[in-house]
Amino acid sequence: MSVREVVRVESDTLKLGVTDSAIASVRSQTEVQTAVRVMDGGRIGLASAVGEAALDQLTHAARDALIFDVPYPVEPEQGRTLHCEHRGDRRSVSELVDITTELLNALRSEFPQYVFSYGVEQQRLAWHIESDAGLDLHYSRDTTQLAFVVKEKGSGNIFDTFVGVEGSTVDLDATLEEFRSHLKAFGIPQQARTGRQKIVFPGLSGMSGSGLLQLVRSDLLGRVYAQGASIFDGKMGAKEPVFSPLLTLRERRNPNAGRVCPFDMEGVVRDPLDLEIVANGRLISLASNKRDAFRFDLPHTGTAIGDAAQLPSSGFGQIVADTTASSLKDLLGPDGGLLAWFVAGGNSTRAGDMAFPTHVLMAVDENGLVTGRVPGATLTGNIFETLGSDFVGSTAQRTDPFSDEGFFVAHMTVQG
Amino acid sequence: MPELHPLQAIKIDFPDGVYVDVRLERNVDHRIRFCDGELDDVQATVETGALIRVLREGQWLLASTTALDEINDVIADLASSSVLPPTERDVGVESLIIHRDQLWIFDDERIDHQPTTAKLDFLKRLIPSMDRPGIKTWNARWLDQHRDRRFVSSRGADVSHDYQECGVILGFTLGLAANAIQESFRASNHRLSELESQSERILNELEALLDKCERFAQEAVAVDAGPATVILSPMAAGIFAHESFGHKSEADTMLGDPQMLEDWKMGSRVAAEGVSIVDAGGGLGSGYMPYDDEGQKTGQTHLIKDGLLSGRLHSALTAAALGEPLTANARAISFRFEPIVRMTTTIFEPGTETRERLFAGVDDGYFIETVRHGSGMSTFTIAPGLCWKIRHGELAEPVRIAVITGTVFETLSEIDGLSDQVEIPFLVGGGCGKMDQWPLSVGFGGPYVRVRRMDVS
Repeated sequence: MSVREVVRVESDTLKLGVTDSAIASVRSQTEVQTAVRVMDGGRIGLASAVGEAALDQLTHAARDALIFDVPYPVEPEQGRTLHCEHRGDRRSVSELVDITTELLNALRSEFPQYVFSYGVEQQRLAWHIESDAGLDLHYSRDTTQLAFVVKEKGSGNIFDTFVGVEGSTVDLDATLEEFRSHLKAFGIPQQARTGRQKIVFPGLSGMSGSGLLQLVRSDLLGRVYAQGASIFDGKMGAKEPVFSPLLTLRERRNPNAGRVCPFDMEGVVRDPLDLEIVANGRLISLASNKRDAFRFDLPHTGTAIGDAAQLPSSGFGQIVADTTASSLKDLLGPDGGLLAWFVAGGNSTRAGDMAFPTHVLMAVDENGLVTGRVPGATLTGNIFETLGSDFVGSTAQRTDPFSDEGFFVAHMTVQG
Repeated sequence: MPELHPLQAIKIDFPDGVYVDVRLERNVDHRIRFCDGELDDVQATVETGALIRVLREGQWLLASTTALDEINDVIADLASSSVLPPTERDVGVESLIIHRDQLWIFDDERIDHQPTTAKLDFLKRLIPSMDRPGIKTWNARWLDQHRDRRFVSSRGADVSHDYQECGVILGFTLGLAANAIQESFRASNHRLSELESQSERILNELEALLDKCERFAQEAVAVDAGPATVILSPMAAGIFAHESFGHKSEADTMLGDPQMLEDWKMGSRVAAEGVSIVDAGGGLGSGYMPYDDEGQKTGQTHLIKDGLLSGRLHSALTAAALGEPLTANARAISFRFEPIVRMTTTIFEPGTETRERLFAGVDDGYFIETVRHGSGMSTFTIAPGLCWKIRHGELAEPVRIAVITGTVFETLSEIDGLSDQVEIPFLVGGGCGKMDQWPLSVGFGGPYVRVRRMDVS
């Protein structure tokens, strides 16, 4: 049976460029990307185009691509309708200029020692998967991001820190309060703290937290695990926990819990929507889409990712940790901790050793409040320990008023 | 026969009273991927679009569109917009040199006109090398891109040029558990025929890398963390030049910071004697850019000359703001983005030592041969792949190093030797990221560079 799937991604973006603490440009962008996948006789062909495209031409091109014999020996999803939206702010250009101007005026006035740049972006992103096998999936979300790169005048650095919030809706006063809190603390240098410390990661999706899960993402790929190339080889499904019994990690697809799309790029809607990857320290699930599951004889976990122009590959989307505490205060003792605010260029070895050069490291007191900055340092640990005996907990307390993620805390070694 | 340069046919109407420039692009990308022996993906992407910039009363109004027949309507809309308050700010467009030129240097063999089967065949020739018992998982990718660009402005500029690259990346995990190594092999050029003519050399280089990786997986020892003398390969040196100093030389980081300008006076010593770093866009390779995205002809800018600060990289805006000459470094990754200050090809210039003498000068240190990625602020970080102990001037056992880090200026001042030959790897795929613009094709390289002290962990 031949099945045609049409994947359509639409974006509508408005961006205000900020240079030298003032709005320097307004940019608008509207774009449509359409891809056609044809599955026929255990093979798949793909064609895509940016801009309005004639579906019959793309279908013809996708059929032509079947000649390459890219295997797709599984049944495509069929007969499912799901429409989901995360609606949010849709400000006009003038309104966005006004809120940004107000924000920049306040920051310039209260923090004249800093230069703010980068910008503000409002975006509506929508994707649809439809097929002649009865698939009708639609998801859209509105996002507003207020983010500034912050440079201390005379520092000699490319930049010194950043402030930013992102959400479906953002509020000026709460944003300003968030930025004030960080910038005030950033202006208070404190002594370096080295050795074993409680490290606070602002969620697992951002620049710092995502590094922590780099090995989870790469080595829990079904294809990698099935070949015996994973650092977790032989540990999937074992009774003994690999990580801390406190730790449960899920790939989030529940749109009521976060701003995530409930279906994957093969159109799979899981039941339940969220996927347990690690449950109480035990490895439970691999990332294996339909193709990989078939090829490597693995459970199919609804984890197809990729953009419209490519054939879906396997991988995890947003990974979150189940909460173990209500707030940071519950996880930090009298010595507080260190907030890994900006990490860049981290690396890991096949032994699971990790090193994260942290350019912005903030001191956090026992109540979970950011109190100052400490010199940048390299955080080191081993994944089996950092997510194991060194895991402290994760919070229900959000990382900022607009985020859908909590803090993640683990002991690591700080090398000055 | 496909029409070669449809961008030339587009007529732009410029309204009075505002400066307008339009960057038109047609981009064609092909990707082929094998995973563990099975063809996994074949894709082709074609996109045509434009970024329109209108300067009205000192403020930039921009729009990107894929509807090229609507460009003139978009220009009219932007030109009549009053969404931003007027300013007296000089954004430098008056200083832009007006060029009219067409540089279609890849018409003889456009990669987007080559059959997919030929690309598939080239990739398949390398795949048997992955059949080694130590390789646990692998993927092999073909990537190519062809870019046609045309820049036109209301001041009369009309510059067209093209860029293309093609190549392969083979990524693999070799060895077991903690002793395994993840590495990748790349081979790239501008034309398929150039790659095909080098296929024997490419295959030999791939086999040689695999041999080294097998040895690494069997013999590598953990590094003794701490400060050490390090020799950087040309690739590692290039990444260091790019991350450590190139980004610092992008002048947009100095806007609004007169103190930084004072501290960064031309002629200040910023590196050891004999150290020179240059950025140049005109040479072929992955940083090739004959005209930047403001229509300016690229040249060569010394960032450091013999240890002394000697230049900065500029767009029209930053050159005007800092009162310095244009350097044609305004670049954008695609028509979706506005041009910002970016590097092209950034290298250490050669020194005077032979490679052998450079290594002979190290009694106890490390050689960084391959690099997975790098990043830089006031401190830089390089995540190496293959590394080797240097003992009494000779390469010894392989060593596992997670990162090498250092403070930019301290490290530049610790360079005490550069070899006399420059190598500039041609790297398909990947590139440089800045703000939300990634990846931008750039080049980097240099000679072998010896640094007396870097932090290794």
